[in-house]
Amino acid sequence: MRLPSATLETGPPVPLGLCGLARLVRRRPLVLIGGGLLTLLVVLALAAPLYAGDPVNMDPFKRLHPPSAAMWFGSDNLGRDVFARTIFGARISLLVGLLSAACAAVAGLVIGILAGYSRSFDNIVMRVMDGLMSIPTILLAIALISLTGPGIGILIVAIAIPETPAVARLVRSVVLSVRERPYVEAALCGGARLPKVLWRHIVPSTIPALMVQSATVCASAIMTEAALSFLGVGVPPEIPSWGNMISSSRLFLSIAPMTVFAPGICLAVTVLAVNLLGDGLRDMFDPRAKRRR
Amino acid sequence: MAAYILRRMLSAIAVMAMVGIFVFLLLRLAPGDPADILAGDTATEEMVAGIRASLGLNDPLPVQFVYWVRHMLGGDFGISIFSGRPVLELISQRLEPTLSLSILTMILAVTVGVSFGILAAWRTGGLIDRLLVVFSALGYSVPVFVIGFFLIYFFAIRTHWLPVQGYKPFESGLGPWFVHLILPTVTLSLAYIAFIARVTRASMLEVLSEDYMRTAAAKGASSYAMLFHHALKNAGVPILTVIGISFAYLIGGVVLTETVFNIPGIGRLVVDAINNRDYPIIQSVLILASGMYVLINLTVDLAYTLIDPRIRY
Repeated sequence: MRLPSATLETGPPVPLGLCGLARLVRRRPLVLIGGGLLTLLVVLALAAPLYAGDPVNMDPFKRLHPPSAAMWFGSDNLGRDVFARTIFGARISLLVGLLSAACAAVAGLVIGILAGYSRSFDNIVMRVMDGLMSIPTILLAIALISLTGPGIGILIVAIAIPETPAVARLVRSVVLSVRERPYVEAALCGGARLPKVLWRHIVPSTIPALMVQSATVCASAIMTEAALSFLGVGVPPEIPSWGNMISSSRLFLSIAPMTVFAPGICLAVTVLAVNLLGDGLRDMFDPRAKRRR
Repeated sequence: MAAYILRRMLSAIAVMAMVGIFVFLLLRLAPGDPADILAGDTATEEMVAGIRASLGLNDPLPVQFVYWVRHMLGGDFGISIFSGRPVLELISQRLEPTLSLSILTMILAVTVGVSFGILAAWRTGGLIDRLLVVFSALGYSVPVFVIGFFLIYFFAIRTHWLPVQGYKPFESGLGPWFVHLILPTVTLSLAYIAFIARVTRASMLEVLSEDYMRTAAAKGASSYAMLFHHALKNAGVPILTVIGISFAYLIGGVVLTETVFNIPGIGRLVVDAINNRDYPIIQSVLILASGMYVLINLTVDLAYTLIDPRIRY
């Protein structure tokens, strides 16, 4: 399979001081918009208990109310405040998305580095990765969860596993090109042990590519979590999440569209923010790709 | 050439074997007794014992694996827990809606995506190009089921232009069949249009900067001839690749789209199987979908030599 891959030129690591960071952000509007939006969402989600109200309180006299000053997004079929549920839903989406991406990034980094350095490990593990890659993400996650039963922990693992092979492949390709560089040879000749060389010289050079890939994985993980919750195998229904809000309100789309649109729009904005941040990071690390895109 | 085809096919078989081992181990290593999972919640002791005997669950794992593969190669994908019917029969009953949706989606995605990409590359920085940037950002970011509910709300509930949900089989007439598939097709194809258009644009831009394009312009070739005769042919390989990948990834989107639009296809079968804890169905769809993915990628890899005579193995 040939992917028109965005190969990253991995030069020396970009020095990131506070001043340097400010300068980079000024030159990279995508990083600013994406990162800013994402920071705002995280702050809004973390501060939810302070202002959003009660997301689980049911009021049978206020079912499917239209948006009003008291309830900005109206109420759902059980009389719960859609605004509060949407804000609290952000917590679970961001939590699952970020943790899954972190798991996939760490697992992919370890597998990719080992595969890039050990030929025997490479042959076996990369074949397993090929196999995993050919199983559709959502189906793989559905199969894992339907065997073990629902739960946040298993959900994170089930989302991270299908995302790992892409990270491992990318890291491996970077390692294969870096391991032949003179400074790695020099370090080895100078008597440095292999683990130290891997940690000091190989791992840092994979970081730019890894950061870009992690943003893609995070966006995809947030979407997968919402999709699984929408299908009823994700977050347990008693915890408000965007996916199961849409799922439980879908029958009331014609009467109370906000019950579906509010979580839907938030989901789209969150994924957009992560994607913009990823695009911005790629332009930052690989200016050549920007000119071509 | 023959050696390349053989090698490529062997590697496809190796990947399928990996998928098989993975799916096989998934059930065996899951917490709980595999026979209990396969028998479902309402099974009696005898039924569990029967399943254990028929799958040979008392044998060592490698022996079980050989049995399992031999059954599937013979077309025996197991029995559905919920309905008690063979899984393959259930899947083949649901094939028509899913195939209709997938084929219409790919036709729409490829025609619109490739033309969009060519037009964007033709005038870089122009209106269409900037439109593509916005469109692809949305296409990558808005989940398919959210797009579906927006389209239903605006084009079915508010305006009554199109049916809200449901599916009409092909034999009930081309008109009703097509009308019911318009919204699902548009919903599912938006992300693929964005994906295909972006790769087409990048691939075309690379070719358009070649020397022979300048030569073609210098000898007075029209824009049309330059784009379609000189550039598109040379930009074809990456475009074909993403079309193959899109087709192979379709199944995940199909599950969601069929749920949103209440279409009785394979996606609905999977979702019903989740609710009934009907693992044999999930396992079979998983293997068949991965098989499709491997097969399509193999076909695409072999098709390179046909569309691009420069590629020789």
